Amino acid sequence: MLYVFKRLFLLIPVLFGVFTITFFLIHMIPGDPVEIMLGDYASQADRASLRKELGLDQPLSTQYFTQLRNVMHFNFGSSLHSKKPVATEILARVPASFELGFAALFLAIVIGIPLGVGAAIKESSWIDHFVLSGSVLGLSFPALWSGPLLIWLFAIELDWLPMGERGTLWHLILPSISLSVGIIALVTRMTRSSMLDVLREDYIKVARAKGLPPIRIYFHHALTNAIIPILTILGLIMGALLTGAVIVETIFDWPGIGLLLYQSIQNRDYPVVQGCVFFVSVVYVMANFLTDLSYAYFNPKIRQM
Amino acid sequence: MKLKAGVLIVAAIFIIGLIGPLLVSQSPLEIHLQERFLPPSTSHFFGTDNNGTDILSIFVYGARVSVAISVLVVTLNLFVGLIIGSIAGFFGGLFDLLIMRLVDMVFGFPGFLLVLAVAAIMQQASLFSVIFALCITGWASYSRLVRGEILYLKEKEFVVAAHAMGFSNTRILMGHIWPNLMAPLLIQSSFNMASTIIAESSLSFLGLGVPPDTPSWGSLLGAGRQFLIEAPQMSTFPGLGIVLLVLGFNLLGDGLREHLDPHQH
Repeated sequence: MLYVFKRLFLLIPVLFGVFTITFFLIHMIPGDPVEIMLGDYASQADRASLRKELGLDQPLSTQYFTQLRNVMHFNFGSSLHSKKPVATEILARVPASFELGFAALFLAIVIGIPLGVGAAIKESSWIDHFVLSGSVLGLSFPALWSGPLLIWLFAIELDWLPMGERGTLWHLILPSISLSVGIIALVTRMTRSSMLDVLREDYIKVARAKGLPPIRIYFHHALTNAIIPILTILGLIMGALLTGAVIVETIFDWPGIGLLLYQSIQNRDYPVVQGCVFFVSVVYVMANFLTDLSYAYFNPKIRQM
Repeated sequence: MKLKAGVLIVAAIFIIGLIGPLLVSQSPLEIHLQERFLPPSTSHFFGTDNNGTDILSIFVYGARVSVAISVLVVTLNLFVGLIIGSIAGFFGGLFDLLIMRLVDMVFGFPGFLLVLAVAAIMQQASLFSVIFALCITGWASYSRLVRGEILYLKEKEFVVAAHAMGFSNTRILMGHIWPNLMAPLLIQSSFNMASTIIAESSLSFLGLGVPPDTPSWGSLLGAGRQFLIEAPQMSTFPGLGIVLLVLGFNLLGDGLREHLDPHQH
């Protein structure tokens, strides 16, 4: 329990850092954000009022602390485009992103783990070589291309699945495959190497010597132990899911946070951009936090540190 | 095996980027609206895009752009990471503490998001802004790697001996420690090339990368998205280029790791 509090305490400076970096990023904009938002034809009065509204007439340090206080109250300002609060805009997009991310993660687990286990059991066989080559190819296959390729093949040529947008389960298939290709490869590789380590352990030899059925050895003795190291890449997977989502959601018109971020960048809607970057970073930090916790839960040695 | 395949693919694309532009007859900026969406043929091996521009020509110039940007970014990352990581690892102290907290913060972001935010903010797309954005996060992993290796090497007998002989810190660092960093840095750089190529293409795909008048695989893929029905060749060829180049560097990295990394044996 003490470990949980210690780790939780360590999150504060990281979140603070995330906020500080996003704040200064937004304020690094060369030129005047008001000018960019309103365009060349706005009147002097409009500019002054927007400047006041955004608090840009205040000194930078005041702006920083005002924003910090606002963010602590979950107030991220309002969208310049829709005029709705940024938090509302983001929260409205959470279910879609969650659905897509969850589907991709599901695919990665149900495909990646069996492939990794199979490759490890048949080490150096053709199955192993096939899975390994496939995983290198998967890692090199960005959503950038798998997305358009899947649309072209399954939505245009074969006309089996819808091209994009959110809707039925059918709509979910192509975007989630596109998002999960690299993650499947990652999970496969990690499962394989983790299984290989476990299969060399003495207790596996003992189990074999006892004449236990192979299925029981692989799934009961080996896999349950091999799962723990796989958890360490959960942070990596979350990173891939969150950043991949920007590309995949844009390609498939999937109304999640990634698409919101892309649209706000297009519209120069800086409060929303800042909110999205901050929100996604917080999700990422929390995911890493949970990874550490689960790792500590499975491996008591870590708790003492 | 992996190493050979990796070297072969990477070398092939480097050569395409280097001499390809000399061999194509059309400029990648030429617009022929009457020749839009032509499928691959003998006059246009890869077909034409929505502007009637020869896709082969964009492909070879795009190879040059992709390779050039990634090499530059990786070199910058490597250089900055090596210097910062060396100072932090070798001298320790307050600098080490501050730098490592900064590295933690960079790692606190999902990498590409930060790149995207920086690129979005810099707006006027230019080669410089793309390179700057891609370097924002890249140096951190090199710093962490170099620092870790130096902390380990510092305790080794040959370094202790060099100290005892009265060699200067600079000489020990550059003459004795850095040569031992070659292998891990080479492996890291190979994987960094792969991720930089994806990041650069993704930025250009979203319209936040290279300027519109620079031929690039990512931009062509981004434009091709709208014309998947009329001209799938706009997506196929640049995508193939990206996947091959990234695959080449991933294979190279895997191969180098198997050959060079002493921790693996």
